Amino acid sequence: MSKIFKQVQAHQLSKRYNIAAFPIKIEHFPEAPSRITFDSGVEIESTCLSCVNKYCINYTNEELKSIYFNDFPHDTNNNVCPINAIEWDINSDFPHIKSEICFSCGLCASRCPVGAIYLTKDTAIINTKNIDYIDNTDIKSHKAEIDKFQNATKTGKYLDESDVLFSLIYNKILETNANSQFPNLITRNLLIQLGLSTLIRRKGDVNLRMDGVFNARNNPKIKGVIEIEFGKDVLDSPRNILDNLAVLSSRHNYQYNDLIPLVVSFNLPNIRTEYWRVIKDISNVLNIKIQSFTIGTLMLLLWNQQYIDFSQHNFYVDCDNPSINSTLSNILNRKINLSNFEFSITAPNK
Amino acid sequence: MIRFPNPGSDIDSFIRIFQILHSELNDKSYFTLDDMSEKLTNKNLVSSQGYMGEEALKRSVRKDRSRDPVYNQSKMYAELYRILGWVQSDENKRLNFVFTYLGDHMANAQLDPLSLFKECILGINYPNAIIDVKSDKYLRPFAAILKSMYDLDGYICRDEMIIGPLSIDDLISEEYTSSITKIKNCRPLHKKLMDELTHLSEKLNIQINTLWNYTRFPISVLGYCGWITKERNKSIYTDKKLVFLKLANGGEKIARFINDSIDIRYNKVPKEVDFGCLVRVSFFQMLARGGFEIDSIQNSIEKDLYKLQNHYDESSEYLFSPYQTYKIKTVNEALANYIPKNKYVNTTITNLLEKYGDYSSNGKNTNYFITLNPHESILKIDNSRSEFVKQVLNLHKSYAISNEIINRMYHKYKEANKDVFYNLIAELLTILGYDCSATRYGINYERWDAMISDPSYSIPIEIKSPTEEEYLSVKAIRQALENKIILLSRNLYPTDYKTVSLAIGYNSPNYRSDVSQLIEDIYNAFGINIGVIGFRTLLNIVVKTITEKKSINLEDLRNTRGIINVKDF
Repeated sequence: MSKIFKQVQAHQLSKRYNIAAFPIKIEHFPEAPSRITFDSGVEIESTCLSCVNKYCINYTNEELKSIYFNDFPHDTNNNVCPINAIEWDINSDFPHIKSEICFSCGLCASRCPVGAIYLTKDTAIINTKNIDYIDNTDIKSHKAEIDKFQNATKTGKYLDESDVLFSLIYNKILETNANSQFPNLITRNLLIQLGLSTLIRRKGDVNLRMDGVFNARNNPKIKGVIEIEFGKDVLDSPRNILDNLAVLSSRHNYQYNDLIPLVVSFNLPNIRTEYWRVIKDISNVLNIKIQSFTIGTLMLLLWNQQYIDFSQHNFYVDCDNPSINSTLSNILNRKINLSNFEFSITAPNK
Repeated sequence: MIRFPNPGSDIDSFIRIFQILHSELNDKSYFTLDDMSEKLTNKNLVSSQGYMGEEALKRSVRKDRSRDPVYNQSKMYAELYRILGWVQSDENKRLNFVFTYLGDHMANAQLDPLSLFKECILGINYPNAIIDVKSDKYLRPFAAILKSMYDLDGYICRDEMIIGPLSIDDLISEEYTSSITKIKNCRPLHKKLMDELTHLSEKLNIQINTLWNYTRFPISVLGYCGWITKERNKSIYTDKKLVFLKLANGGEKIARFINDSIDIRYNKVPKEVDFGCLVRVSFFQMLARGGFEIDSIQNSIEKDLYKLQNHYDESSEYLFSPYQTYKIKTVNEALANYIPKNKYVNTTITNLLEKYGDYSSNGKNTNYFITLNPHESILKIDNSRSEFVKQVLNLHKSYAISNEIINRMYHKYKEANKDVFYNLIAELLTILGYDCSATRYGINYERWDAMISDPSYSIPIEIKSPTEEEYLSVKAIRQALENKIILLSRNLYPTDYKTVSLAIGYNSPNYRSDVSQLIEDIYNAFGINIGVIGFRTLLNIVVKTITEKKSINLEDLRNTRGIINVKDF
């Protein structure tokens, strides 16, 4: 009887849609379940298939790698939700979202292969209602069903941005008792979902100063370094970025001018701060173009199912024009509906 | 008081790192801290001095192991893994480790590591045969904390935890009761609590700050296990708003389980009890609560349970983690029928010290010397206007040796604040003949703290007073770089690209810091020169200029890079 015992597997049953057709489209809607259109013309509400690979909960090891920075000592935390708001009880058929802490960032929703998670202004919701269209099946058929969705077009959006919505989300984040790695985790996960293989520094690693590195999954030329500051230390980010670039260039043989420097913050700094002028000074003297993001901006791109493509999009802003609205408008092909009155999401509010 | 080391990383990483180490080292008959370090760096789980991968290890390995960062991280992990019962030390060699059968299961708890982790947290108990602790008090700390919270209406704060459940012998019921009474008596006056804390700190001869540090691990674990939430409360102590730990539903459930369970402690098992049965029942109950499927051995567990019923209530579960209480040899004997026989295969252990040798962090860094030359120096400042010159000349009347004056002046300013220190540095440089002034407070666009202005080669200066940082750190270097870029971009003072940007602090950088290397990195990447001067070096130059009529070549400063020292002729 000598052995290592195994943990009890969740008694969840694999599922598939009982529609004999191929899915061609998943359309997402704010505040409402998404809809799947099959090539037979049938259209149904998307429902959770209790994936064997828990896409909405964990990243795979492969997803937490970067081909350009394979030596980077990174945080291997594979949680999709940066505050652990999504969980799967061993006795439950479906995952569950803790709505009291979920703030609708959209990470779990964007990873659902069948679009079964939708967002409301308060929380993400896993749709488990449409069970008439679901059959239990073996794992092989379940995986084959999930594969069929790979080629389905994804349209629509998860949420419409507004001042009220960001006020709710940002205030909920501020009330969250998240640990100190939260800013790095949410940034990493949002960037991964936006098409960038991203690694972040391990919590407590005092020997490495840079917060993260990334490379574009689809364009081998695009790679960069990230500074993440959610507090007032964002004012130090430009000089921290220079430190990172110097270290990567001098010690690790990366060409600093091949690296895209990103600063990710909670709010954009006040326009009167020196941040914006220093960004311009660095551009003037070293021709390094530091790109500024907020997590709100990253969420906004995710809700609209966009990818960040640095070969086409430029998020460089400085004291002459500290707003990233025009870049966002170009990407989304529409006006951005934010006044930035309460939080500086896409432009400084003061 | 029970002291926990701080893992220095979040608990998710801490568990994952264990699982990785287990998969890498499990085939060895034992492993050392060096083996752990090698695997941690190979798997990119640690860094050293800003380097990654093998280079990190190479840079970390030093003959003086107390200063070796990767080795120290491994040591800290090993210590906590021992406390949790996942590894144990070799009987004869404390720094040779083996994975326990419990550790094997923790490594295999990929689906739900938290459940078994919680069991191991509850399993921590003192004294035991594994960890040496000075105190002979019996304590199962996490059980005592949760039970105390339950008896304190669901709330406890950090300082209450220190004076209460972390400082008692929980097998003596009077101690437990008086700890609860003590906390209740403190409430609602925070001052009373502080008095108790101060009293304990004096009794143990440990600073309060250190006592607070010991609670970091328990507090983060309680939150990670979902047993508590944090709440800012102003009603429990009416004179102070404090962050309290509030018992969550999960914690309340555990507190009830603790009350109902049979708590087995080291050397407290009656002789008549079949120790093997006790180990097997407790270990497998622990695994079952940790989410493991043990149905296949249920019959034999039932038999063992039956043998224990003469001494213990058969309806209760056992709270006893054998590998956290007794030596591996003793526990393995009881579990011999279950532990896989081919677990250990001998392999050679590499000694990393031999592989990499000693590493000097300053090996290839630039240090620049400024030369003090004998010279009929004429002070460039009117003596009557410089307080500093007056002070030095006064001291010179009593002390002929310049070093004595330098020492006195150095100590005089050891607590100088920004205002005093920035102006002092500007004054010292002015004495040397530079046109230097400190930046007035509130001028945001002048980011530097002082400026040596020159018709062609102005030098921005970043200053750190001793109250800001005792030793210059990389922060100052980053700021010196930014100062240079701003100056070049905004043209507020004339300069050129090559002229140095200075950072001046009370002490030159700590030997472990990355300052010298960063200065080289900045030069290699951007071609910008950053120079660093410690206050003592600057005093050396200035005092000798005043008392020994020596002087420096003013041009020398602008061509420096790295840590600037002084050669005295």
